[in-house]
Amino acid sequence: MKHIFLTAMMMTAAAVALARDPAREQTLQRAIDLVESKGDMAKAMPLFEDVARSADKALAARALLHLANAQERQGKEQARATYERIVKEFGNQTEAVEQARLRLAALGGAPQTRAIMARLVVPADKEKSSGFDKITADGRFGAGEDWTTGDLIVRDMTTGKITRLLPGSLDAKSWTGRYVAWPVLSPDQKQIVFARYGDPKTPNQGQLWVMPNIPGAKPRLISDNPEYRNLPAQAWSTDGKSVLVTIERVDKSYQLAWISVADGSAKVLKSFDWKHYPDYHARLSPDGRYIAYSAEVREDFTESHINVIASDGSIETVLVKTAGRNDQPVWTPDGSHILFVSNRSGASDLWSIPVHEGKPAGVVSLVKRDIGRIANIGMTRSGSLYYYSKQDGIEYASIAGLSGHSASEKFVGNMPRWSPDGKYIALMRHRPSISDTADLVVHSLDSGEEKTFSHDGLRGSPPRWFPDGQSILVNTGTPDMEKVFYRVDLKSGEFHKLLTVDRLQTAVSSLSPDGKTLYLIGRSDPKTFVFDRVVAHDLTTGRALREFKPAVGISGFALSPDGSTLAIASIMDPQTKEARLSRVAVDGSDFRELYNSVRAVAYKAMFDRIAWTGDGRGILFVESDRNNNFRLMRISAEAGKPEYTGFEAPGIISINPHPDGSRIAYSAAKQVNEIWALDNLQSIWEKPQ
Amino acid sequence: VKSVAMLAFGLALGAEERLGPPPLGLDLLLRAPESNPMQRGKVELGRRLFFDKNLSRDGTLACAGCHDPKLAFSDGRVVARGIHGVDGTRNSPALINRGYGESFFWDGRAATLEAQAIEPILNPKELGLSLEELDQRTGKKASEVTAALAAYVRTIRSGDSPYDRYVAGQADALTDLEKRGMALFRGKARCNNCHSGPTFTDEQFHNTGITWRDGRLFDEGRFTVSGRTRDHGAFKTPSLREVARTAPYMHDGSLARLEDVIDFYSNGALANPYLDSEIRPLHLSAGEKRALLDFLRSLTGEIRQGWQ
Repeated sequence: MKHIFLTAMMMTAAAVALARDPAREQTLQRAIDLVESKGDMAKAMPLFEDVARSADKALAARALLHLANAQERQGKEQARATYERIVKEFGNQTEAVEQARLRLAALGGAPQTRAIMARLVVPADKEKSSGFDKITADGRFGAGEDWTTGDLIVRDMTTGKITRLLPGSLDAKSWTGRYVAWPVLSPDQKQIVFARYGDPKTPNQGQLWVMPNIPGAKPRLISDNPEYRNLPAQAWSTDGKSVLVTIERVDKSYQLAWISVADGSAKVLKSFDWKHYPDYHARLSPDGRYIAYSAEVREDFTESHINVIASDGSIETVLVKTAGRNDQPVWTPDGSHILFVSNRSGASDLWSIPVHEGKPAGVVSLVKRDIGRIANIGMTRSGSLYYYSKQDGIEYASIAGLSGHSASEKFVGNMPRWSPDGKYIALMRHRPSISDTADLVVHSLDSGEEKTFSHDGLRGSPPRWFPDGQSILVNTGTPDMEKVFYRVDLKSGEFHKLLTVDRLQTAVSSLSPDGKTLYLIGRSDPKTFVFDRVVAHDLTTGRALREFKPAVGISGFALSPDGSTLAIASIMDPQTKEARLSRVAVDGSDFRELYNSVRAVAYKAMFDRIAWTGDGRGILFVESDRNNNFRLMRISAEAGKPEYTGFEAPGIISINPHPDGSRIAYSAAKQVNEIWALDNLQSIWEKPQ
Repeated sequence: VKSVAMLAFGLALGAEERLGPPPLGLDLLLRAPESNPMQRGKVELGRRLFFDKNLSRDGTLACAGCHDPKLAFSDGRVVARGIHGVDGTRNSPALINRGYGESFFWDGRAATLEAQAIEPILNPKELGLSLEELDQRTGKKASEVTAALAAYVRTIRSGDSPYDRYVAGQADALTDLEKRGMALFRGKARCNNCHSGPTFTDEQFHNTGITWRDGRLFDEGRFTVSGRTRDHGAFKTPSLREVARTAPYMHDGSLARLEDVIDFYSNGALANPYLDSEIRPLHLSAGEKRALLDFLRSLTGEIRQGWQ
């Protein structure tokens, strides 16, 4: 266990940005060597303590983790205090805090702090295959399904051990075969109910099954109604005789209903039409008397309310009905509050509302800001809310050596751009839970400090440095909207409007070396997304200077360092995804094809995957092989065949080589799917003593 | 107004007994306002008032005059007929499953059954009483009368039809032709787009052109309430439960038989500037029309009313 812990810490250490306190960084390495090579804790611990005094908080937190680990090895009680110090004093060092909390839990007790804390339960790399879990009230088990096999599984949330109760026969590629979904363990954990799909006789019909919570036990069919397309189980009744389900019927309506475990008969509490359907997170109150659920209110699905209905259907109240989306309700263990996710602030926040006899009993209050896009799994009696954190396309910007395979630095963001002096990286960082809004972030590679610049409507288009290194060009506007370009003064933080272009021009652009001319690509036909023209704009006047149509369509382009030539990537065949590379002078003359068999990443998706080398003699571009590996290629700007640079990385979106050609900044998208727990929520319902 | 009413809705229960379960196919949840909880005595009072001709000025009509239990609480007339034999302008809607309703009257101008119940009593063309007369004749305040009438109407529930038994899992509850009609109802015939849910109505308002004559709308319908352009000539989707017993059809009773209604929609209803976008020619064959008709007849079930 300790080895694993230490390895994890070392990996963390390798991933962090350049140290701001090089002397103490060396001290830390010396102390680690003392522990690992010589086992000399006595000499190492004062060194760790010294490093912990560093102004570099990341470095200090790492030192404290090592110190606490060393204290643990010596069986010292101080280890707990050191871990608690990390949790208390280093709140912004999330990785260190998580490590500390894990160790505190392993030491046999919850941390002393009562602050609400997020805890990573199942990390992304272990959460690739299983689906929605529902957690038992004691927090020990989660019921779920394996999306690669269709198996019914139960996860021990403490050890991570997965028990397979019922095998599926799912072919995940064709999505055929039998599989389960929406399992729920009974309150006594002796039975498990679940929906099952893929019966060859009724392939479009959902069934409800139950089986003992024993691997290999025989399941029993509860409901096999051809009117039910989908019937996700939500909860067991407190007497264990019925299961709450959200039925999706073949006539496109929905029902919230109890289904008898004995005979499959349904008692429909409430019906919904397809425009106002309930989500699949109906939650039974701890006393079993009420059900909280959310349902769509508007036909455009931009608004949902939280409702509470009596479990016998006798009464219903709209509990939360503010504008925007309110969903994911979950009861606190004492049934006095409901927690829910709302985007009323513009972000996805966790809120709570007191409830009495199924009705609101007070005002809503914020529990945790910006919790992100989550799917709650359930709340334990001890006050921990378990939830899936599901985020598609989280973007990471990385820096790597051009011939290497691994990144030396990594941070959240997209479209990284080196500053002219190579000391900073500008990137666009999407705001959590608001995927179409981004901030400009300037990251210092020397200090690790970041400055954020925000503006309404700022999107994830590439930022472009002006040659003075003191200002950056950014733009607002979505692909099918008018775009406005601004010069951001990095000292004052002010946005100065420079240029407005129509919706037919993209925000994919290149800035001339003197910072005066902006090249954009555009389309002639508003009904298609075929980009066929280059437009040059004078940023000093805001006027278009000239435009021309190259001999090829444009799916990506880049301006040479001397500002004379555009490299163009164009898709030839959307089916084969083959592309060609060309070059053309910025006045539209001297068009030349360089290569015509580039395996493009995706149709129309070469936008920011092409760049010139710093010396202007070569063009870099991203190519994908048959296995969808993304490889960085280089081709001479004059002629010849492309060559593999030796660099590859999954999911590359954007590339930008360092001015000296030694390194490359790139960004890639990654799906994050993790299980988290929010601990110490008792403060919501427990009154202070 | 509707959302406020929706918020307040709920069936408040005291310690006393509850209204029995609905017939098969209906929701357990009824939309009753907290201010008017369902109680046995009140429902019984409402039932008596519903059939009491003293609620009309000339003592010739009761609510049941236009909402006859034998005709699934409709009246079989083209348009409603009030005291002194005066005809109204719209067809009497069947008062079944209105406890699940979201608005009332063909144009939805009443947000609750309580608000709905007073209008026919005071309307000179219907029952024609004044508030003072209502007080004198019943010995109760108007609010008590309407609360009782609304509570009783909420108990009028139709379900347990062959269709309900089929969707509950009894595969032989519908004939093959009825099943074919059900598939048409949900598919090609597009009926389900508006006649949806357990009560076979989306509780929304649609223009079918039925009131379009000589280049204009003879009845503006929902527009007179909402003022919205899209509501010109729009009327509330009626329930299709017991539809075989509630002829004639449409808000003006202008289609005498169900066959006429099916033909009307098969032909794309009646084109007009405000025709609902859901409506288009269906080009149903004779066989398809027959299947659809049989399915609609399978929606005839059991009507429960009163405290049960």
